[in-house]
Amino acid sequence: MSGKEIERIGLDKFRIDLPPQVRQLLIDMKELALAHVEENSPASRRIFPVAYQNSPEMEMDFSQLTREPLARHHRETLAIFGSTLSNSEITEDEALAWMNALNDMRLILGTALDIDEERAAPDENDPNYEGFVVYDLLTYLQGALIEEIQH
Amino acid sequence: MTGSLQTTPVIEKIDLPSNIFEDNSLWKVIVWNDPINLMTYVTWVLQRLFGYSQGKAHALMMEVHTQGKAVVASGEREKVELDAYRLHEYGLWATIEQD
Repeated sequence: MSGKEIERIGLDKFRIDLPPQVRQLLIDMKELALAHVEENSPASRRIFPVAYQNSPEMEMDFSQLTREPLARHHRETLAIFGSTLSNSEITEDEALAWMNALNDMRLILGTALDIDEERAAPDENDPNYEGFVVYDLLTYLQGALIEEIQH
Repeated sequence: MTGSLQTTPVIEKIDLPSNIFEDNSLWKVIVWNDPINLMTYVTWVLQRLFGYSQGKAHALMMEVHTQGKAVVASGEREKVELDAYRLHEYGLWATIEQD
């Protein structure tokens, strides 16, 4: 055992070692992210970006063409993430879905928390303290997954 | 045919723009800096989607990070729309502009 939460152990295999409470937290976050995908909430604007900033007409055409496929992509990767969260091993394809899901969750939570690049460590007196802690956990896991997926 | 009256109207030569039937203009995909996406993640996505070397992807990511944006791909409109869509699937803030 390496002590890593996520570790590549083969060409198509990653070992997952997450405490039960972290897995439960990730399930809750996955459900929250799914709700934002369906509700088209303000916090979901970063997972549905505007492509044509200078042309509302072109943006409307592009959005009509891509909005539903993009929503379906978010739903599918979050579903794969949710269904494999209790596994002790995942495949390469599942790891790629984890990458998408972790990033979607960070984009939604980070937007809701109004994250900026100059952010300091979470302050326990901040009413959003728990949100920042979860955001940092997602960041840590995504960083670990990027490292292992390139390994 | 012989002995028939000419019924075909004479068409004057008209100067048409060369691109009336197809859009040959160049379009570009721009990735913008944002405070959420990890630098390592942006580099990884650019390598994965466009097949860029680690060095090129890292340089583009650094341009995004330090200059606020970078052109990561260009071409015909249909192609860059697909590129932008794929970047959106990965959560990157990508926009399209005419060159």
